[in-house]
Amino acid sequence: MNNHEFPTIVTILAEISGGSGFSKFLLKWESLIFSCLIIFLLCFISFIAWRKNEIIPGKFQNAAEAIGSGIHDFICGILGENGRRFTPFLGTIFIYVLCMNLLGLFPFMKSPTSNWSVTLAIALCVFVYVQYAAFKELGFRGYFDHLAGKPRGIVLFSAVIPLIMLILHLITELIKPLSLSLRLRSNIWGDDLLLAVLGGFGISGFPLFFFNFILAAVAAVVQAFVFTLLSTVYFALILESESSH
Amino acid sequence: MPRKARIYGLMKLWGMLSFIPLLLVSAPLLGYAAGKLLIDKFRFPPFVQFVSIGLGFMAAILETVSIIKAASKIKIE
Repeated sequence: MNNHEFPTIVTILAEISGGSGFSKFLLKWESLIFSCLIIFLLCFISFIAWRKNEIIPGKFQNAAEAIGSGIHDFICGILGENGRRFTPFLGTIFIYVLCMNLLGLFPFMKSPTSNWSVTLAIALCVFVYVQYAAFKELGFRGYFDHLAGKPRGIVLFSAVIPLIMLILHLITELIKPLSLSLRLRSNIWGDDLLLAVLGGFGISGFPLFFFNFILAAVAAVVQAFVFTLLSTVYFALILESESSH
Repeated sequence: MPRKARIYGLMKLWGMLSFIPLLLVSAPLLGYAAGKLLIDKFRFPPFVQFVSIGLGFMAAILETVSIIKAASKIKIE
């Protein structure tokens, strides 16, 4: 824990266990512990919501179905009917990122998304899935043809231009997960840091703290939405290049 | 329903266009990091740094052009 963070359950446990190996383990894997906590929580909620899958749903099942259909409408609204196959993946990412963002607003908790390794891991999952979808749709030859800028005629035999285009396309593909992850991490980290600094003012800084707490809650939802939107657009860009192929 | 379609169309457009500033910043950064790695680890000559930053910038421009092309095809009624 550094001086600009609120104490969390993990850092308190690490403090209690002194400088032992367990304490080092806890501090090293702090973000991962909180993200696993979210995974277990979401699995539990899903289990409760779908335990009695009925035609006339109960309150909990109704809420879960409303969230699911809302996410489905949003993704299919952007990607068209083609987007149906990506809805489970993108919907999961939205709920997972949203819960991780909001976790930092609870006492003794931390947003795992304020750690770049967590956001980069999610962005890399998006990157791998997008590449897989493009590879599946275009095939090996078509995929490399797309990366080399679809060279035809004399350009194909020059070898230099397709090679440069291949390098440029590879760079553009690598930029996307980088920008996605940095954007989310920086926003959430900034919010958490601001709250921790304002918390340090004590009771006199409470109005400002409260105002920023509300802003951080809104930002958590907006950032999860933006992350999902950009991932969806990332799929849309690939699907559009496929259709124009 | 047409109102919903319009909102989704606007969201898609906004999402696509908001990619552009991110790309223009992160592509030269990636080029810089790649150049530094090549120089430090593989002992490439120092000018490689400029080449990789230039390649990053070119890649960003190329992607920006393709995003603008894709965005201009979106019809919002």
